[in-house]
Parts: sequence; structure tokens; C-alpha cells
Amino acid sequence: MYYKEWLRVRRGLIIFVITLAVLLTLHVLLLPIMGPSNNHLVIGAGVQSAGHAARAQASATDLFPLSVFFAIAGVVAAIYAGIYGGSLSEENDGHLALAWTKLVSRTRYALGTMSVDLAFVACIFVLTVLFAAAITAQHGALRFLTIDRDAWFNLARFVLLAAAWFGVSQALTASLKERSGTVRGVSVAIAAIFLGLGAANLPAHWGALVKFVNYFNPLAYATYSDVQTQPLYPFATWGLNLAALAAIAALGVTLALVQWRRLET
Amino acid sequence: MTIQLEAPAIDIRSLTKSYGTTVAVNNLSVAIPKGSIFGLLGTNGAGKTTTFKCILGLAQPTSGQAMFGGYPLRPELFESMSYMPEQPALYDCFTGRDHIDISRHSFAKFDTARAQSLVDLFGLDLRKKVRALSKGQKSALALTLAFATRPEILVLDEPSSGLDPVHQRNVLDLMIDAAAGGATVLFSSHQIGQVERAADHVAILHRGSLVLQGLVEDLKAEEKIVEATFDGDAPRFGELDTNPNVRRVMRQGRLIRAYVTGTGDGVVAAITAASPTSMRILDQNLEDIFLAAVGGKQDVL
Repeated sequence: MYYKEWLRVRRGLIIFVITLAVLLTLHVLLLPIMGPSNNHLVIGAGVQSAGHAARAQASATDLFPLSVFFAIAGVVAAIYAGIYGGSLSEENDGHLALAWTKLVSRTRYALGTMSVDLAFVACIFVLTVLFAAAITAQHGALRFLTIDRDAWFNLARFVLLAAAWFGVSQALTASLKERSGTVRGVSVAIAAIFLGLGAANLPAHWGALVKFVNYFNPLAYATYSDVQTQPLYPFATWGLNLAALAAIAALGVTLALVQWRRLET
Repeated sequence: MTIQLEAPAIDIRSLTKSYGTTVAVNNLSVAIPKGSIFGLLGTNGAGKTTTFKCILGLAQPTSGQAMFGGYPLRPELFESMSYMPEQPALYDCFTGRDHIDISRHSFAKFDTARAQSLVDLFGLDLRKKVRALSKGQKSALALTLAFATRPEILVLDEPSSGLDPVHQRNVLDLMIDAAAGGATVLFSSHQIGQVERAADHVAILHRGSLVLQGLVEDLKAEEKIVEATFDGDAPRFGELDTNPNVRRVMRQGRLIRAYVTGTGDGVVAAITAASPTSMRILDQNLEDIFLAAVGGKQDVL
């Protein structure tokens, strides 16, 4: 029933895998040229030097956290979530006569379509983590990888970040026939601006407004630093931040469904 | 009088669709018998496409509803019903093969062999993406998808649009074959000759309202043309304007032509009284009937 969406994500997946394969191959080819003296990896605060001696003497500061992989994968997955978050809008752009003459209800069709998209986004996340691990391994730096204290929180957070951004994109575009891409692009810019404003020293009332808006801004939950002791998350506890991201995702999908079910002309 | 024991394949009941102050479809009631080929005729903007959209749930009727075999529309019905919109709702980025596969995965009754025979019939290149297809090829692909499930109900909006005469003929043959197999076909077309060839029932919409419906043969039998020639300019007949059986009057120099319902006896009597040089009563074809139904009462050429 959702074969059309499967075709769409399969194409995206093939392109993504080919891109990663090309990048990985280029990296393998360029590694000898870079030479051992340049063969170091800088991630977060940890600096891993190539060479046995250096690795043997690795101190605690040379270790880098697994959360870095999740942060990178989360950002990449969120970008794809934004792109594929216009799937209902694309059906509305002249294809409802096909989508709405299937054997399932509109709600089920839309949910199925979005499920396929979300599964694709999850695949992008996993592939990006694997790609990052492969690059790290080529540098012989996997041994410096450490499972940091917040790793599993960050895994959940960055997976939910992509899901939340998907929900927001669907909610903003499900009723649109055209300009869906523009709306999704502008929404990224607006979210980034509010993220920046959240860190700015604004007057109290403006600060309160920005803080309120950022509760609903997935990017506000995406900040990452392995040296920062006071992350700028909207909520104080991990659980609340994860719950908020999940709620944004669910709310976005629900709003998208409500709009898409009522697109009759 | 016939008694219909089984419910019509499609029963449109008091359907009205308004867009603001514009009434696109006005209180339309039509029963489409099972196994029939039902042609919906009308000028541009008559409400044909809106009617199709309303009965299939693609547009929300202002009032009224459509029943299918006695039941309201529900998703399961699409297992045995196909719709081809006027603008084929195909995905530009996918190939014809992709579309075949999408339908195959969506409908259990999709007949791959049938699809292939239709692809061969229309000469489609399934490797091409839809964006690279001509309008006619897109229509052909949409028709292939519509017929490949061997549906019991086919709703086709301008199915011949963009097709060359050979494939237009193929489409008519497909509809006739489908009906011969027990399927019900509801279709619209601007090509009245095609409707006359394929349809056994017809309804004519004008400005959203139903102006005429029935069996094509009955309509043709009921509708006549009274044509008379005079020595000088044909006189005006005031009584023709008020006669409810006169649909349309055309005057052209010495010739007058009245499109009438029934035998036209009253019209013949009125014209005879004016001593024409010649007069004859002709059968109407569907185009005459259509033009008489949607044209003005008085039409001087």
C-alpha cells in the first residue's frame, strides 16, 4: 500500500549510500597522501594522534565520546527529516486522486507514508553513525572512543530530534500544494534564529518569549558540546527534554494528519 | 415499466456542490445501472469533474451523496473501482514501470498480464519517467492502471484526452469490453461522437444542473427535428417559444429548424399553417440533442 513511498525512500537511500561510499573511498585514497604526521582526528575536546606511541600514551583528554557520533548523525538525519517531511504535501500536489483511491483510510495511508519516511530517517541516522565510525577506524582512532555518561541520552535525543523536525515539517506543509520546500527551508532558518536568540542576552520579556517558543523548537534541543557543563536545553532534566521532543514529533504528525484528511476541494 | 431489483452501481442522490456563491453541481440525481456505459456530457464548467470528485470523496459535497451498490463510499470499494482523473495523477519522478508496480502492490486484483497487454496496446515505454511522457502517453498510462485491476466500476474523466484517433478507438473498445464483462463505466467526454458510439445511457449537465438523461436510443427516438423551408425568410413562430416540447429553434434565411421532444405534432401543425414550401421530420443524433439541451431556445444563424 505504501510502495510508492518505499520507492521514494529507496531512491534516497541508494543516493545516500553511494555518497557515503564515495566519501569513504576518497578518504581511503587520500589517507596515505595526508601522511602519518597529518593523520590526526579532532573531535570535540579530544585530539587523537596517529602512531602507536601516541596512542599508547593516550590520556583521558584524548578520548572522545560516542555522543559525538550521535550528534553528527542527528543533524544529518534531521536534514533528511526536513526533506522527507514534505511527503504529504507532495501527495497534495496533484496526486490525491491516486492516494485517496486506495483500499485504506486516509489516516492509515498518511500514517503509513510517514512511518516509511521515519524508518528512512532512522536508517540515515544509523548509516551516518556507521560512516563516522568507519572514518574514525581508518584513522586508527576507534580505540579512543568512549561511551560517555550521556551517550544513551544523546542517542535518544538526536533520534528524537530528527523525528521532531519531521513532525514540524509535516505540520507546516501537509495542507500545502506548492511552496512546501520553501516553507521547510524558511522554517529551518527561523528555528536557527530562535536557537541563537535563546543564547543571547535579551531583555527579560523578550527572553521569556524566546524561551517559550524554543520549547517547541526542535533545534533548541540539539545543542551539543562535550565540554559544556550547563547545556542550553529547554528543560532541566533529560527525561523532560526527551519527552518534549517526542511530544513535538507526535503533535506535528497529528496536526499534519488533521490537515491532510481535509484537503477535499 | 421495469422494476430494478438490484441497487444501481452508482446512485447519485441530490448532489449539490457550491464554491462560495458559485453552484458547481445543483441537486444532481442520477442512477447508473450495473453493467451500463454511462456518458456524462456537458460544456466546460458544466460540473462533470466536480461530480466525479464529489462521488469519490475527493471533494466534499455541500449536500447529497453517492451510493455504490447501495452502500456509501468506503476505502474497500476501491478494490473493485478505478478512477482516472482528467489530469492523470501520476508521479513525475517515477517511471511507467514504477507506476505499474505501485498499483500491483496496492491492489490484490491487479492483473499484471492484463497490464502488459494494455501497455502493448498503447505502445507505452515503461522505462520513461512520467515527466518525459506526452499528454496522450500519460493518459494511456493512467488508463492502463485503471483497467488493469479489472474493476467492477470505472469512473473515467475525459479518458480520450490527448490520445490519437487510434487509441481513442481503443479506449472505447476497452469500455465496451469492460461493460460486456459486467463492469459499469461512468465517463465524461467532449467528443459526443464517441459517447454516442460507446454509451448506452447519457446525462447532460448544463451549468451544474441535469438537463437531460436517459437511454441514448430512447432519447434519439424521442427527440426530433422539424425542418421547414419557405419561399422568403422563415417567419417567427411565437408559439414555438412557449411550447415546452420545443428545446431550440434555429432560423437561417428561408430555413427554420425546431428541435422538439416527442412527435412534434404541435410544431408541425404550427409550421404547416404558415405554408412552407417543404417540411420534413428528422431523427436527432446525440450532438443535436446535446446542443438543443444546452443551447438557447432561440438561435438565429
